[in-house]
Amino acid sequence: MSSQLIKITTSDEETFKVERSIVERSVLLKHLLSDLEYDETDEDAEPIPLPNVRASVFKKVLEWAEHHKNTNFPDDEDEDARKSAPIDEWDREFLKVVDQEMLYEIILAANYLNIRPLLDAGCKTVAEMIRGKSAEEIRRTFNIVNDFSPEEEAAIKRENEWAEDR
Amino acid sequence: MSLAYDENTVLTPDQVKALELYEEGSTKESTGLMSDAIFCYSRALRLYDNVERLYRKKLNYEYQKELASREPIVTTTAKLKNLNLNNNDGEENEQNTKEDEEEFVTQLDPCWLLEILSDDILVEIISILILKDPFAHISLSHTCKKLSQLSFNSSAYKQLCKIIYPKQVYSESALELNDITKNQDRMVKNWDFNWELMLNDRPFIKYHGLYISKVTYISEGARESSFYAPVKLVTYFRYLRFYPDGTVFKLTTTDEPNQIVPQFSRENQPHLKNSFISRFQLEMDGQILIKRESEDYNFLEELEIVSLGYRKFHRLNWISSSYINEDGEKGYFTLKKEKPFNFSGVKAYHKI
Repeated sequence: MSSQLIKITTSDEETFKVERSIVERSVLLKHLLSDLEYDETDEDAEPIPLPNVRASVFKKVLEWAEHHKNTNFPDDEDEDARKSAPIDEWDREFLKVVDQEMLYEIILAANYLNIRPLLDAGCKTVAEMIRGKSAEEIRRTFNIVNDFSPEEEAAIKRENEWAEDR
Repeated sequence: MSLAYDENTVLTPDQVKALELYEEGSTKESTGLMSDAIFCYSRALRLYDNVERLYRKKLNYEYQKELASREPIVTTTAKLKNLNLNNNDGEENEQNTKEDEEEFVTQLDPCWLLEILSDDILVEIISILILKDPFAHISLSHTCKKLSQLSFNSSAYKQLCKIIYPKQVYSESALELNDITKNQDRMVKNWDFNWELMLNDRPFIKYHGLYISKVTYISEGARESSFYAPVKLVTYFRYLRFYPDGTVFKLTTTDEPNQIVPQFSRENQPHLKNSFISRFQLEMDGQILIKRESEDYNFLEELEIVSLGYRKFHRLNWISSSYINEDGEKGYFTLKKEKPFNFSGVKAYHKI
């Protein structure tokens, strides 16, 4: 019975077969499965379409879910505690090796699929890339084009300066 | 800006600044603004003690130059030199534009961050930064218009309020009269649910740094003959560092901030002469009362939090400084020479 798998089709028409416990890491899919009363023992069950996720990205998400199959994520009510908790060591390595484009697509997919721990790890990874950098260094890291006129930039600096001190 | 007054001398930035200040002082002195002049001289001397010799050398050099410029031949060569310089400048400019173009080409790589991620995810990332690295949060807000706007949207203000206000220490009466609670979602009602407005309008004490008041005055020395009137420039500093548990660490000293800041924590109190640990309370309108009880005196200091231009709640003005002796008699200290305190953020204090 354990060989019964759920079929999921990504935006680029690739179909994945995945264990229920792994699929249910996604709150979106978990709800969908229960709403649809999806029965994986039924050979003819229609695959679930994921119109917003590419196969290469979904593969990474599955890799993450597979690794965290038995992880118990704390159900943190306190937002600040959740945000300031350090990134899981495995997640850090996992997200470090992908390029920026893939990293953001994983974050976007985690957001869409509602996988909170992966979304958090992704956002924290980006925050880590920004930490300790000057505005110019941040622009270089992310290819951000400075669209301020020199006057505007000076004004923004004056206006925002106070928020460092608190 | 040139770093030297002639081609053969290279000055350090401090020396240049010292020389500028010295010249400013000399102009002030010649127009009779003696006390302004003394300020300039003393600042210049602190930067570089040999500034006077430098100043004389410069005067001499300028005099020689003026003499030389009266010779017609020299002027032509000088002109030629200028021309050459201009040519060089032209080439440099061309090079610069080339470099600019190259930079432009490399910048054409897309900014995946802004292209892929949605605004609510960017806001999420910003909120992590606000918690972990306030300085990077500000840097990020300087990078481009979109990130600037997202870095300071209403949810960022809300988060800042929730970080700042629960740590404020109010007096009993302020708590009671204003119905202050740590629950900021209730407090913001008083500001029409506008977090930004609350942050602009409700004074707060900053804990990640210290408040410094630099007091300088001129005291007249003993007059021995009628020709000389020696004056003495007195400078001292008052330092205040507040803690969210209601204590404040105070120090009055002649030592400059660069000496004091690294060691200025209440744990070091036994090692710092003339330092005290007092208690403070905040009122809703930004008045701070600092109280210290010694064996026979109670000292009370009242300060008021005010903004300094764009820098919100950056300054503490003196209101009063008084004592009550053991007989219950109250007396006031004069505040004539006192100067307001300005806040200086200290990165190292963020760790505590």
